[in-house]
Amino acid sequence: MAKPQRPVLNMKDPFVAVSFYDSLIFKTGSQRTERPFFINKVASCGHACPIGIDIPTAFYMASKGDIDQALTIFLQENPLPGICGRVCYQACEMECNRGNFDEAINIRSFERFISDHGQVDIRKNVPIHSRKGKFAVIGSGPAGLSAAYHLARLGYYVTLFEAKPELGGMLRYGIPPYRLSRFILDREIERILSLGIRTHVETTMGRDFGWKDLESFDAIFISIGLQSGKVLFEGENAEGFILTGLDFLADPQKFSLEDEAPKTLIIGGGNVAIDAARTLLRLRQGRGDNLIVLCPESRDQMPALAEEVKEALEEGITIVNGRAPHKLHTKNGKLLSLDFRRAKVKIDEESGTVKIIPLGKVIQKLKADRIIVAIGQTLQSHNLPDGIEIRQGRIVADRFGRTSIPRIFAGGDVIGGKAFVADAIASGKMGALAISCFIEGRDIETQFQANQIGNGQSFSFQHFIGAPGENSVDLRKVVFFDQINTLFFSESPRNNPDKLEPGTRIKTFEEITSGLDVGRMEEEMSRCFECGICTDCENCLDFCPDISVLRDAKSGVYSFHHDYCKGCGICSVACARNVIEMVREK
Amino acid sequence: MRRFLSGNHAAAYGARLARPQVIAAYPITPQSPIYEKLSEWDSEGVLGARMMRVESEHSAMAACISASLTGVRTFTATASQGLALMHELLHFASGMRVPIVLVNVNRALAAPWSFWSEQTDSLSQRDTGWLQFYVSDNQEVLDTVIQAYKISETVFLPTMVVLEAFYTSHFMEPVEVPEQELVDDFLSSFQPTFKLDTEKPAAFSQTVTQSEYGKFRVHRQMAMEYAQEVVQAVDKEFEERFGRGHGLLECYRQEDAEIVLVTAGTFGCTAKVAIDELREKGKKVGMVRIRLFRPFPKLRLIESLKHARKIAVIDRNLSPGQEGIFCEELKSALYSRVNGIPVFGFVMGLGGSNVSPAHIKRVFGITERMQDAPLKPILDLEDGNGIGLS
Repeated sequence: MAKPQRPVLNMKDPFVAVSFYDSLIFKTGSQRTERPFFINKVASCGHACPIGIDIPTAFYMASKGDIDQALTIFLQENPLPGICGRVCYQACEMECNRGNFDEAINIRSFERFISDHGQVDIRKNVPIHSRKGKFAVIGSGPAGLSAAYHLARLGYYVTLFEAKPELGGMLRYGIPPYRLSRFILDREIERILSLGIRTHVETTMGRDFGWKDLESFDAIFISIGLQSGKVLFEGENAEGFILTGLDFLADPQKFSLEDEAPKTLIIGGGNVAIDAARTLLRLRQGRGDNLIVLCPESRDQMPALAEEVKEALEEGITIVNGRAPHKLHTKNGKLLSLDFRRAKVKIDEESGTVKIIPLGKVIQKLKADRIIVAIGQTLQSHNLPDGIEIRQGRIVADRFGRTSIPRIFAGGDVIGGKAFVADAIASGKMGALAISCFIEGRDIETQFQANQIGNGQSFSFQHFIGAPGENSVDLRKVVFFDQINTLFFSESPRNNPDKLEPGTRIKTFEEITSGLDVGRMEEEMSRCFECGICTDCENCLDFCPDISVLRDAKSGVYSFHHDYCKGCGICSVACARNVIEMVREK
Repeated sequence: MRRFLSGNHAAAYGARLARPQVIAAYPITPQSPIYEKLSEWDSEGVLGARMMRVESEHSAMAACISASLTGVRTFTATASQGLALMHELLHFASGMRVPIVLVNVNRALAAPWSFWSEQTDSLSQRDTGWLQFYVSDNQEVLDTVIQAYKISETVFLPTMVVLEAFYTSHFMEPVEVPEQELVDDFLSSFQPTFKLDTEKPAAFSQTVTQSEYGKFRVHRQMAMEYAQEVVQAVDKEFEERFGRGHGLLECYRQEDAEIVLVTAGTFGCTAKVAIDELREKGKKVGMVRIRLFRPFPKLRLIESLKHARKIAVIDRNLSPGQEGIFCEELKSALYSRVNGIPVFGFVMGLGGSNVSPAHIKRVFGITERMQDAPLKPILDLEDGNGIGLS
């Protein structure tokens, strides 16, 4: 540009300060006392998830239309998204930052959606390494499947042993099909096995093979769960009239309870009791007259998921709370009635142990033809290896699943902890990490801490395996609600999936809950704050008063122009998702 | 066309006739009727300007400055606290040499809270580099607003036209509203040397060096001096086209007067009544009303006052710790050329209390009786009842 003429000293032209040059000579960056930097973080949902899934990145990918990539992100941590998308208790939603704004994101429906609609060839999309090491996984429930999956991804040879005819453990033999479609279960197991895992079904440890037979394996992961239903009335002779909830759920047709005539009492307040009641209701084509659930807990204390209890009540199931069984009356090996008393339950907050306290001396009587006992499960300890430490009916293991025997690891219900699918999957994932460290001679504590999410119990397998991320992530930093700039969001209601009407669903084993359709899922995806990840929203770029947020046109990577950034921090406030932080200049 | 208008509406008519393209203002008593009238015209679709709703007077001035830099004509109006809030940007406006026209209705500044007339709001903007006119009736309001555009756009300095709360702003008088074509002929379009133009990017009012800064101040002083000539020339041209002029000063029977009253604004009208009555009694008294306050018309004042034996200045304002501001300014002007004329400083009608011809006559009486002018201002605080001599 030609140099403009300076206005001469006359009264016709005002003498004004105008510059046609840029002001790049003023390196305003020298005024800076703090500098901004980009750092992706973990969202509160992913932090709460026992499996440690990078939920916001998956939402971001899906919202851009890449459902496959979203599913891949889930599969980095969780081999069973289709199952968790149906039956998970959703710790993530309880901690969802949006819950403090209007309503939590429907993450469960999202997980279901991407697993139902995403197409991922796991062998291509989840990094698989090739390593030496041969492991046995005993039991194919969620913990065993998870351990086998992650070990296979790390490149080890895995053999999976299952006592039952089909794989899946409690997923198949415990969760009724109206909550979890068997088609989905088969599909997810097939995907896991596609990693090259060998399987042996109908092979029971201690019967079909001994521990000595497993000596050729470098390590063993025990995830056999708790297979025996607890017995309530020891020594009572009522063969065939008293059964456990687990036995009933494993093969509901076997016990000829379909006829509504046998008056059936179900004892217990947990998920198995509710599942048994709802399964029986369906077997009886929705007639619930001779069906009562009895438990000592109050309605609020019931360990079953609140959603399950609510649905059971909707379906017309009678749940009698605050009653404890007292005595059975039998005659000639036939059940006559059950005596019970008023009771209350005291739960020790610290240990979690439950104490049933009878109230008063009045004894009530209920006629009963059958009783299903669902008061918890125990370990079948006779099949365990010699010398393994067992305490309070569980294999003793540290938080990484290491047992008292060096090459034997354990996870899932068999080592205690929460009896939920997600926790079992997390336990199997942890076992895979521990076994890998064991065989490679690496320190598990160091490896866990290097990949730990926040200060929680979960870690990032994606990070551990070295799957490349788009941006650098600080896994230890968790974005909570007060770090979200909610000015950039407006209230919108949560999208909930449709459910079959109670009157319809009690006559069928079809899934009660349907997935969200594409339109409503898109709406739900647009609600996600995407906490802690850069979504290219460019608020920083728009708000920077010094035009010092730069975007590389080719790579799309953002950076700061430190020659001119004055360190005002507006970008870090304008970042709705807390991806920009300020650090003091040295 | 002759209309019966308040001073506020006369200001609005003046602004409308000048065809500004951007009007940014914030309502405040007693200026609001100006803004309301313009808004009314805007809603009727006859205004032809973009009305900008802003969140404060500070923003109103910022908007006018930016709009003016793009080369459009701008108008705003305010009063009292609003003008005080604009203060920072008043400096910007003159420093950036934008010809904004602002109507300020003198209203007493808080505290304590008050709505009535007092001139400190505009007088304390004395050093912001704005031209200031103090007008005495509604015709002068309308004429001065039109003249102000021509003056400002010639010297590239903003102009403030100052009315008095309720006396000028709300009293209604017959006002001759000129035809639009006449005004259009009188005001040519505004053509700045530099414009904000996205096609030719430039930075305005950027940082300058120490030596450069002084030049800018000197240029503004030169522009002010030039403005005095321009005000006269524009007034002369206006008189030729519209049949009335207002001058830098209004002189009334002062040529042979021994005692000359000096004042500004509406006191000028009242004083003329008192002077006529005193003249009938043979008193040699006259008046000079200061219309243009910035630039201060020193030479013209000296010329018109050099034969007086005594001068009495009546201020509706008071600079705490000094005296009435017109009095102070006048003394500084006279001192350079004329010595020995005692200047009596009266401060009256603060907060809008009425100053009647009787009060003016008492001012004359005191000035006539006293030999030497007191150093301190002569304060009249209780509606003119009893002049407190300090």
